[in-house]
Amino acid sequence: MSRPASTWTREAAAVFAKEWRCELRTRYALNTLALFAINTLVVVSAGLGPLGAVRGQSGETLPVLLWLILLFAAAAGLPRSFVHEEETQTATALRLAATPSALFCGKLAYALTLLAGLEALVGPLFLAVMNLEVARPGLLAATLAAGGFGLAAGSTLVAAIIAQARGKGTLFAVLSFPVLLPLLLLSVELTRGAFGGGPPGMALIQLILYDGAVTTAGLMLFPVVWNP
Amino acid sequence: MLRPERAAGKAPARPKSVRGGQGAAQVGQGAPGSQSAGAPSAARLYSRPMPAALSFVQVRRRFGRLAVLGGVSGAVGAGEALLVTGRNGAGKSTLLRCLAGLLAPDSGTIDFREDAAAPPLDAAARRRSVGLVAPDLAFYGELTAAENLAFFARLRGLGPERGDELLRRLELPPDRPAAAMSSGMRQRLRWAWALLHRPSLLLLDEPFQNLDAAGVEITRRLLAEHLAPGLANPAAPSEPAGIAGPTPGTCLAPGAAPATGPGIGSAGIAPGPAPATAPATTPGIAPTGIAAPGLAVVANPVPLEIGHVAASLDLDA
Amino acid sequence: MKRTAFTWLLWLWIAAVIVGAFDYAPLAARFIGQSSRILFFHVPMAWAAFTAFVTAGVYSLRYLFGARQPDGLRDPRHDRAARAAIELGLLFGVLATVTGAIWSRIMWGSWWNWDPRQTSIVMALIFNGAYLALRDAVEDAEKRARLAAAYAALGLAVTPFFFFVVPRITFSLHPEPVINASGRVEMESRMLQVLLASGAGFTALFFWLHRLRTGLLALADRALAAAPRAALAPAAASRAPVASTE
Repeated sequence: MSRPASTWTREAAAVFAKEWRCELRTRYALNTLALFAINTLVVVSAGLGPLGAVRGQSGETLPVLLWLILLFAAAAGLPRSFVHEEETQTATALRLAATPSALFCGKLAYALTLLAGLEALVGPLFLAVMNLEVARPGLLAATLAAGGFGLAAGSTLVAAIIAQARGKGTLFAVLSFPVLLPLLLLSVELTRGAFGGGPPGMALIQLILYDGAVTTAGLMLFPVVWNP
Repeated sequence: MLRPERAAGKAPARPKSVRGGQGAAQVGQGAPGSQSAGAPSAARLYSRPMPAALSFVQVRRRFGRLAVLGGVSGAVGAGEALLVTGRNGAGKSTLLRCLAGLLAPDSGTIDFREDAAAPPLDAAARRRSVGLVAPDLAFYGELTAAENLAFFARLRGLGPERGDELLRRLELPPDRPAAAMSSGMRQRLRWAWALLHRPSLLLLDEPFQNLDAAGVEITRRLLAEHLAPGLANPAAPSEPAGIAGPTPGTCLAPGAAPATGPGIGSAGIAPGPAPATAPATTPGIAPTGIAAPGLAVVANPVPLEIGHVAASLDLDA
Repeated sequence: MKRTAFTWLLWLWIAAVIVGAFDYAPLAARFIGQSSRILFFHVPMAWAAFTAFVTAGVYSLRYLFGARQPDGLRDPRHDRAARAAIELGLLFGVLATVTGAIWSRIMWGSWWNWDPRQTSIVMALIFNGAYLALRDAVEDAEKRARLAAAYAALGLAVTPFFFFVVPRITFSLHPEPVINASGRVEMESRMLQVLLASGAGFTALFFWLHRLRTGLLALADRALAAAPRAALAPAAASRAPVASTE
């Protein structure tokens, strides 16, 4: 039942291409992610007032807000990749034609690119709107990359799980939050360090380990989630 | 629960035979109606792999407290079609989904081999192997028919030729988004998708729904070609003179498998008329360009007029 | 016979632990009044919750990837065991949280501080609740077991980060663990005896309750399997007798 590596790669690439082709024709996820993130950013920024947070506290609280924006935008836009398949009943054809691990990787790559786009939009806007100075830009970039990766990987697997259940929207939030909390806390700590707080220590390593754990879990568990 | 059926009354009366208890007729040229007890030796005689076979025993499935399938059994061999009938809600679609590997039965076994000498495929292999046409099968509305088929072809590691060929045969407009297709066209697309990878087992759930007369004719011919490729192909190099078109009950026996199958013989299944001659091959020589005969399980609320029906299963009984 | 003896022993043991906690063990130096007694219950409860969590994860993995039944289906006993473990994890987790909150109130005047250990136990509770919510959201039995097991396995993969990474990130209000990083035991020996005895007792309690709960779930499943309603009423009359004898 194992397929040669070249076919597997071609499969994953085909899934990735199909996701983007469909997405570009409807722009559903792009719109949702972008508009949701911008709206949240506006609310947060306006809520904090014209000068942003008090300078002394900004390094503490603002990283939390950044990651909350990313988390909620991801919850709004990422699950669709599996939920849509189940709702439009295209999942049956995929179950019969695709190798599960290749399907998972294709969907994960799609989620990663979506999230990368989201961060590229939200990151600079956030820094600009909050008048933040970044003491360690390299660390910020690494955190966004590693945190974004874990967010995409965890969200993809949980999306696959809830797509086959009822109450998909709220259930996704309920299931993903406990799983993503360590990622959130680690990313917030790292972002604090990037904005000028203390040195991050082991946190980046732990975040990367977390990414590895979630991705491995996803690769192992997806075939079982996808098929009986 | 399994009753042999004479399709269209064309077949002469044949004795019922219990598969597995006796060796079924051999592959390749053999006297019509003869039954050879030496099925294993038949397998040794011919270098071509023995054809595929499907059998399922005591398949049960319930949903919550609802027992949808209550111990259903059946079997079908290469070149044969199993017709499954029953009222709405009798469990036809559920059975087909179990056979496809999309649902795991609560109990019972499903044994499908593409080559009767090989071990049965596990559920994952079965999923990839079958071709399914079902009312709830849908494709990507944002993509055109051609793009849909191209995507699935790439998933299966195939080139685009087969998809193009099927689009032509089913007269599907390649560049219309699937969301903009009529229900009849969508049904044709389902057929194209099912046949894309030349499966040996076709699972057809209400296969002719929504089709117009032309569509029905095209798909019937596709089904006939699937079940008896040699017969339907006029370019067959060595078509024996005795075969004159699809004969009900014509089939190739699975040969060695039944004796060790999951209790086929002991479950008392009567598969139907004794297999007759095989179309279009001479022993030991693989004909060029002709695929092995496939099998099909066709589910419909009312009985269908299709050839090659070797047995029927009425879920209402 | 063995089971009844074990049950009696368990109850006696726990009773002895309770007596020991209030009579035998001395008070801890830095704690206000009698509040250090909570230690003998709060810590084992948290430990039992953690054990439950890991048990659920292991059974879920066994369900998904372990040996199958002769007919090729997954073994529902493992699924029942996982579910029972999650439910008990919820129970012990709530107990641990409540006792911890009481202690916190006494020591520092506030019920809740988002101390990292408190955070991780709450996250574990939310996780358990999410598992049960997922089970409620799936109708089909086979799919329900499979999806829930996958989620529990995902939780197991993330567990090390719950319990070890998170508590180390920031300063914790939790008293420096009595068995601290260097491995030295800083506790008075009688306190330690009662604590360990309580730990053993609560762990045994968990496994005892787990066996009871798993048995109940098995009975419920058997009742369901024995009397399914047929899909079509008229056809059922002819089919149902056949189904029950097969």
